[in-house]
Amino acid sequence: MRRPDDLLPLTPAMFHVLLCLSEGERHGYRILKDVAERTAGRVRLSTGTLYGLIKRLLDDGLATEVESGSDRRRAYRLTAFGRQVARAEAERLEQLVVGARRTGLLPSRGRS
Amino acid sequence: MKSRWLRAWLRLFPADFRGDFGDEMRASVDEELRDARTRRGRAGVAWRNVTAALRVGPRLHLEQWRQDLRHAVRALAHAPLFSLAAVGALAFGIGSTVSTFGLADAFLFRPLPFARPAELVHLWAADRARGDDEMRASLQEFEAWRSRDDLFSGVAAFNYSSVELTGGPEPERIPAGLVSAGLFDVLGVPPLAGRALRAGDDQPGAAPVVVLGEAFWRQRFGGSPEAIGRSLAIGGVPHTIVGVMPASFVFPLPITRLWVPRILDRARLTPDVQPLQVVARLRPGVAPGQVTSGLEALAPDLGASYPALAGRTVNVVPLGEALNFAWDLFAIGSVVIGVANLLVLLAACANISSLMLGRAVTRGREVSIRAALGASRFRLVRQLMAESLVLAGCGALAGLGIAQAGLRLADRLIPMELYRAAPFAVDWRAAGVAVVLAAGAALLFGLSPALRFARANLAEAMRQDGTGGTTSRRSLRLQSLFVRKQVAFTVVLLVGTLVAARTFARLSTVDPGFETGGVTTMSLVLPVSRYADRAAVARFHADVSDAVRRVPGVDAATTVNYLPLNHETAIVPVSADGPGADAAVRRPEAQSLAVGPEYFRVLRIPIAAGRAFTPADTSDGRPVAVVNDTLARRLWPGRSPVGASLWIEDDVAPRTVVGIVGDTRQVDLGEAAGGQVFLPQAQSPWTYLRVLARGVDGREADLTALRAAVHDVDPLLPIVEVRSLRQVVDDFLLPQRALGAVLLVLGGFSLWLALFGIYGIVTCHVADRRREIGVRVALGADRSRIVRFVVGRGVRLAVHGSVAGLVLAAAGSLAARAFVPGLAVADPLVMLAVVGLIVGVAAAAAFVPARRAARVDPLRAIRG
Repeated sequence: MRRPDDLLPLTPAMFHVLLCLSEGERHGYRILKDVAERTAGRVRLSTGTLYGLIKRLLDDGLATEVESGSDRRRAYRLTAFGRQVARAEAERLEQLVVGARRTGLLPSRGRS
Repeated sequence: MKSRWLRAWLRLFPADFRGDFGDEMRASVDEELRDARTRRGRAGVAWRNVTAALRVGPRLHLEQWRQDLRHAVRALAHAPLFSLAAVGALAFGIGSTVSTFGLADAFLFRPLPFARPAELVHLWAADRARGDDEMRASLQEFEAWRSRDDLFSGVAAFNYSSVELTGGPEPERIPAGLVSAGLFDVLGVPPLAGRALRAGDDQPGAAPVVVLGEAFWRQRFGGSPEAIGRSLAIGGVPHTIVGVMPASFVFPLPITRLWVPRILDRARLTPDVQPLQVVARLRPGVAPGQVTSGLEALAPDLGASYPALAGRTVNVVPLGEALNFAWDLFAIGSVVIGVANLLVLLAACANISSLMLGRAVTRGREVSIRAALGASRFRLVRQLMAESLVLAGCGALAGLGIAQAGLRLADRLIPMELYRAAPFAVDWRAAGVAVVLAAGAALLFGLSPALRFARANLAEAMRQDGTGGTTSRRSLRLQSLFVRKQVAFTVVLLVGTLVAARTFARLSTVDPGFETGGVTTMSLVLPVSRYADRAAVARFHADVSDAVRRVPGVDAATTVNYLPLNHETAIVPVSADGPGADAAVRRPEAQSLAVGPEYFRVLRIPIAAGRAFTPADTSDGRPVAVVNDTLARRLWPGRSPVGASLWIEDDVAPRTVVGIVGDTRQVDLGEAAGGQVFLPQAQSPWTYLRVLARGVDGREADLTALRAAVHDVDPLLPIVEVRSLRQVVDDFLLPQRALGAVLLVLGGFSLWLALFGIYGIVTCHVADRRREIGVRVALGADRSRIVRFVVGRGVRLAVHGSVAGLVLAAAGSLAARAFVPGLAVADPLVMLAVVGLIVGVAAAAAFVPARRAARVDPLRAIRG
């Protein structure tokens, strides 16, 4: 059985796509736009890159296709495994940030 | 415009990927462009997408290939017998072709390892009247030729030679080049260290110098630059080491270890002395034809000035042809062998193709399901091709291993005295040939089954559950033709193997006329510098025989100029009636050997009449000779020659025959022994000699004692080729043994190919006729009859092929006997045995599918 940790670390682009899909099913172009908005334009995926990532998500079982009735485009949805992987990556990133705070590299911030 | 751009852009992605996502991607890019609004923004979108495609596309392609290859490896691992057969067949075909290429490359294709080799020519003197156009030149001719600096930018002389190194613990004879000072400049190769020879080094009175080869320099001086300037004792004379030539400089032989100047001394090199081989570099733009006419114009003057050179002209040949004596033989040989190899590879491809087809038929259902699940046709073809590529790749790798082994064997069998521009090796060129062959083979045997399969009606294939319908009659006929050809080929090779084996067995049992066991041989060359007159040489022969005889364990010792069965002899015309008596009649010829008094005792050659030589047969005594049985019968039929006169060559006075000895085989085991005449070394002393000692065999202590005995007589003399006589005879038979072994391997391989070919065809045949067989079974046909029917088909193929093969083998063995005397005849028994073997194997190969056919469930076969 594959464990989510096996797939870590993810590339930033991949992580952004997972984040986007974690909010619900999306078709391809919607993902592009969401990622751009979420990162205030700092991460701009192109169609070519995005579908390379989508193929990887499908092959690795992180996402599945959803036939959307409205138009000819398919939408994609995170699988349970995909959600675990996204969470594991988020935790990994958090650990890094905690470490950075501990060394004083980042200003420490009290828990709210 | 835009849609064309998009289509082109999509082409950067793999077909499958396009199939999966193409429409969506197109829509997505459309939206990206629409949202970009400004012209600049749209340009940015286009740019980002193109660069992304260039980055992602290749990765996706690679990934897909990796998947296909992984899948192919798994599929092949599930069919180990098939995979092994296919890889083995390819490995053998590719390996033998690459070995042939490696040989041809070293001997023919590679340019000579000198600067601008196309400009280099070899100049021979020629005497057209005598029909000899490869004669060596006199110093006078060399100098006249060299004066034509309008034709040549440089001319140099060289000779194949050897020198004695005397500085070490034991003197040693090593191959050397004897060259004029300009040689290295003419060839245009700079030294690795120090300097090459320079003008003046080859003039009388010059300080003796030597240029080392890299290998020798590394071996003796550890590659130290300090070797330059040191002294090397050659023939007892210290020579100053002036430079080192790189290992790639092969001249004039691959075994040449160092170069010493030939002293161009006009006092000694008079016109009647003609020892020089001449190499020249043409000026740019000068054609060899111009050289011939230019040098021929010099001939009349030379002839007028020096009568010894009258009638001589010149023969200009490319340097490569002069250095590689067997050039033309190799050219023909490599074409013939190369084509034969390619045919073998082609046959292997045909067989693999039919096996793959059989596999595709039985895997029809799997492939159809994959197609139904949406794998594109292209992908299916590619997956089948991936299997072919994996097979071909493994075949190429194993083939390179075989080529390496083959070239190593060739290195042992082909004498180093044959010029090669580089050592035999599997290098990147050979690897390139292997890759090309493998790729070609993969296309040849993989593409046709893959395409046919992808084209086949998939629904049909699924319904039929792989019962056939995929092999056309035409392709089956073509494959049958290939298999018949393969069988014929196998018959030829196996008959050849048996003939070679019988020849070898017969040769091994031929009585050579002497006893090979218990004799040790050593080879010596007496340097002219220290053995100038005949008396000194004759004395050495007597002394060395005495010294060796005193070694404990030695019963008898002698010297001889040529060892028996060592590919060496001298042939002389002989007559019992004296010269002039029959000047017009061709005199009979005999092998001539100069031997010591104990030669016949050492080799245990029986003395039939008269006596052997004694130490009293010296140059002061009357000239004597011993003849063998055959010569005695030929020259003096019906009477004893003891006491008779014998003229040898242009002797003015006859020799007296003092004895008759038994026949021995000197140069050949296959034919009847020839006439032989033996002369006493004391009366005909040779500076090139072999020492033979009976009673000691190859023990190290004995060899040391023998060497010491020789060095007691002359401590400076190098001893080479210390071998037992049995080893000499074994080496003599090595080519026959090797030929037999090679034919056996080829024959076995060919038999294997034929077996799989027959198996493949019969399998296809059964698959095609499955329904028919089902009907027959349903109608009550006896299953054993079906087995017989199917096996019969395999056997018929074998018989057809065998008949053709037998005709070829018979013709081939007759032709071979013309070239290889002493070859055994391919008798009917041998041929029958081979055909029996092949038919048996064919029946076994056909039995497997036959049994499968007989087990056909009639209901399923008919309904399917």
